Amino acid sequence: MLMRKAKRAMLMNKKAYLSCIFLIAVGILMQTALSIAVAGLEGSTLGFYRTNRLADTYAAVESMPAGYVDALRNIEGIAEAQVRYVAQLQAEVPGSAETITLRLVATDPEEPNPLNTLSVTGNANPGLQEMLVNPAFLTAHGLQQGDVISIFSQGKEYEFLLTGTAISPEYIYITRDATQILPDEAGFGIGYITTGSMELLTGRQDTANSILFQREAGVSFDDVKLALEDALRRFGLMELYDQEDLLSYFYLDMEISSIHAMATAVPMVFLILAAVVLYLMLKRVIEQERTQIGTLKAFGYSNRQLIGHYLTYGAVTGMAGGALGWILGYWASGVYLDLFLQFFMLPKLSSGFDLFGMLRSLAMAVGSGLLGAYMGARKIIRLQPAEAMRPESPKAVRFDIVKRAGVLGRLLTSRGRMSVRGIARNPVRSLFVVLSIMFSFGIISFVGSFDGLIDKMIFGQLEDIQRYQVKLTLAQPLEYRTLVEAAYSLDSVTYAEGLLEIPMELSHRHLKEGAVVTGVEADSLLYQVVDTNTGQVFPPPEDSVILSNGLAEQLRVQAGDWVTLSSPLLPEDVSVPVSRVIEQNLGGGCYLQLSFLSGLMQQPKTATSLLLNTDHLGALKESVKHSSMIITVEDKESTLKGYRAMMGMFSSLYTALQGLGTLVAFAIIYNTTTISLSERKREYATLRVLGLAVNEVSEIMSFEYSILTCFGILLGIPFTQALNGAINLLVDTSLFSMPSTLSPEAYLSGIVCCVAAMFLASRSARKKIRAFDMVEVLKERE
Amino acid sequence: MEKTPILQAENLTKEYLMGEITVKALRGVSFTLYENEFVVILGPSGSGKSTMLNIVGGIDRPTSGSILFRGRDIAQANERALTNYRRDAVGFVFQFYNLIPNLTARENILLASELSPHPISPDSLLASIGLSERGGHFPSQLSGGEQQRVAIARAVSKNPPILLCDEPTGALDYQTGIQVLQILREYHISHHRTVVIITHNAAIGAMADRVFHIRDGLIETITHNEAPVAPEEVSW
Repeated sequence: MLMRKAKRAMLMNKKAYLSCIFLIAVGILMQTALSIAVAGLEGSTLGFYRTNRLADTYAAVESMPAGYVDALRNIEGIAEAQVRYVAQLQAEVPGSAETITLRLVATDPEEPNPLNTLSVTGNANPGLQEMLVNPAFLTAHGLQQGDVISIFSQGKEYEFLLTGTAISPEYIYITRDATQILPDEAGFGIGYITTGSMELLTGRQDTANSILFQREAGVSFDDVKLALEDALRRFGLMELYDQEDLLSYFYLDMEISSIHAMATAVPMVFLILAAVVLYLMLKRVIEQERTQIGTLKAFGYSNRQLIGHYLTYGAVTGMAGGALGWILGYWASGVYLDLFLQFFMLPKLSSGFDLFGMLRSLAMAVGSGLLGAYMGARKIIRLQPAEAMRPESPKAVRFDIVKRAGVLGRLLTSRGRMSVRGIARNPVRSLFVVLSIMFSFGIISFVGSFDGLIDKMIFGQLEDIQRYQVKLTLAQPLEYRTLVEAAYSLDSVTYAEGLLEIPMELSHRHLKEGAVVTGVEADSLLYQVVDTNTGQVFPPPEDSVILSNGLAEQLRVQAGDWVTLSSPLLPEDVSVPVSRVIEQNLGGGCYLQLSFLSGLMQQPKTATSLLLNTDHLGALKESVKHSSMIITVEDKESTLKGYRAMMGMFSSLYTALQGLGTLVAFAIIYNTTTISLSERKREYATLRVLGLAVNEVSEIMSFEYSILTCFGILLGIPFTQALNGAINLLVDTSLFSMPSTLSPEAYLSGIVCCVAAMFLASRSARKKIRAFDMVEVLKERE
Repeated sequence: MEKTPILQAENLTKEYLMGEITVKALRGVSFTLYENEFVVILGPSGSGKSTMLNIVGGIDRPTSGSILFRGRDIAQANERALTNYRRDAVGFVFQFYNLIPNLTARENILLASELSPHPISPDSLLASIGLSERGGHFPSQLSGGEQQRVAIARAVSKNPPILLCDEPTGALDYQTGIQVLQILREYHISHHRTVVIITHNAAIGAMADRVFHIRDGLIETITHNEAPVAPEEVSW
């Protein structure tokens, strides 16, 4: 019988319970979608790493005889070593005028037990002048098997037949370098060729410049580092790093960790919100039904039976929200997986039905419903039947907020005072509304800031720091003056500068971090050391270094500390003071004057790339296409165009998330106004009898909720900053950090959405007030 | 002396649907209220007296019939006109006071007086009901009698031509009830306003100029008191 009562009561207040179901469903949707998607991503990635034998240690040298690999295999702690040749070269594909860079990886097809093996579609054994490319590159250019790609090397053009696509565990997430956050699918690709083809391109036989290692079980990178450095130094060791510093591995690992954290934290917030709404609703239900409760107790119903009855409200709400959220989340996980596939090159990315996961989601949802219902209904236990059958005595006003407000309080009209005292009348409810609006504002503003953040991160990097039009990466470092003079000999060049970029290891006390150390001309116009937060430009120092915040945090250094630079290109480790730490969001920035860096390397003034401005981009590209000294041509406008196209994909996702935040704010304000109206309908009916119009009465509640919304928004501003800081901590690395300040537009979007939610909920309350039957309401005794 | 009608009801009926049963609360009631008279409507529970008062007060509409306030039919008035009627023409006193719990006594009175172009000062009203010292108290800090006095002050603060009181002594003890009746009588005399009280307490009829006896949705009789008694002479 009590079940029938519960069913009818819930149907009568279906909108209020539906909004609780919505909150729970959103929480479970996010938890399910993110958990399934990240499990799929993690499982597929780890499986791919395992089956395709991802190497755990990487080295790059200038040049090494391929046969030396046997000596490397004998180093203690090394289980497997393989050599290959990797070259980054310019390419052209049919039907595209864009400058393309291909990183060509040449492997020996006879290798008996290869590392970083390929998953191939098409011909798995390309022959001479045949090539496999990564699938995204193929799709971006609309290429097909059998098409021809032109490769430019040493002043010559070589035609390669495209025989299929290949995915390597080393290149699941493909970026040109650490300053690139998003893949540039058309501008940069990976090509897989045979050793014979590479010999044709480079003219070098039995030579390697890249070595892959597999360490013995239980052996760490640090255990073998010194021995490997000793063995490789003579071949011009340029880089030696652990799997964790492999860019693809690093970005995937960061993505998986942050989704794991989000899948735990974000749904919990929604479930807590739903539990609090249920608590407030059930508390009100118990107040309204106290006479019924007294009667049922007088009949002999036990506390347990009555509590159980009200817990069914929470259990049904939780179960409905959980089931709906799980179904939608299961569907949304597919959307997430499709989105992952846009960025991560995996042979397969799928995730199956997980019964335990489903039961866990339902248990969380029902648990949140039961918790809220119990908190609201527990008052039943203390209620004596005789007491319950009497109306509850009115609550005394202990704290007069209007009186405390002094002059401001005296300025209020009577209705204004009702609104303000309405806030103090139910402090828990008011606080909950404020916190909910704060939370919604945080979500809306934070998501709303993404466009700005990405703009700031990517476009700030490409427009404020890298101010050149074209960057030519050289095959080897060249003397500065000769290089710049050569650049000016090209007709289309209007301005030229050199840049010296050297990968190094930076250390401070026991902390070490790999970074590209950038030597910049003292009066550079094309590359500026900019604090992306303040926009301030700093000249590169001549006897110290400037570090980006991400790198400084990883090394725990501040201005005034000293860091040690280590590189095979330095005769010995050198310690330099840190003159300044600046905010930069991409790449592990370490800057100093170009001549100072050349000096540390005991070299004359040298550059590894050429930065150019041009008045004829096409002519410039054409003139450097066949140069044997240039391995990549980066045309910044094309790179920006690619990023803009990619960012467009996210816009609808951001809008959906902002809509969700607005719905959350609406659902909570709607529910709390519904509860408030049920408490105050007698008062409002009295006001109507006194002669107040519907609008005048509804303004009392609107004003109250406007004040709460204002407080929510005010608290929302530091909350959004804290949220940004927390996400920053989650994703902060030496290579990547989120900008620390959010744009005013982001906050404005939060204000607009929260005010809209408040306005819609107030309109709904006004409709209810209009629908009050004054006679019926005044007849009711609470 | 010629009496001026202030409100004229003609053949009022009111039917409610209670589930599937139609309840006829008023079955064709006609009456006139005059300026500056004290009327008591007497009748047992369910006789239709509250329905009649609600229709006169503009918080309910008749099923049929007309009700003219100074010549304007409020039975046909739209929502806005009815709100203005409640705001300007009537004051309402409830059996259970219905004070706004989060406004002080003075603020409750101010709430109503803010609606009127010619209000009576809340402070003078508080003084007249003997609660000058209690104006800053909230309803929960006042006794039932004090709350009802504040409720009357609130209703009259708009200075309405008609004061409607629904069982104003119903929730009070005898002494407090008499005090409340004294305040109503005082308002009627000092401000020359029409006061209508509905009650099932026949003794209160003795203080009225006219008494409407209502039963089963019809006015059975209307009696005239040539010499209404003072409230303190009423006993029950």
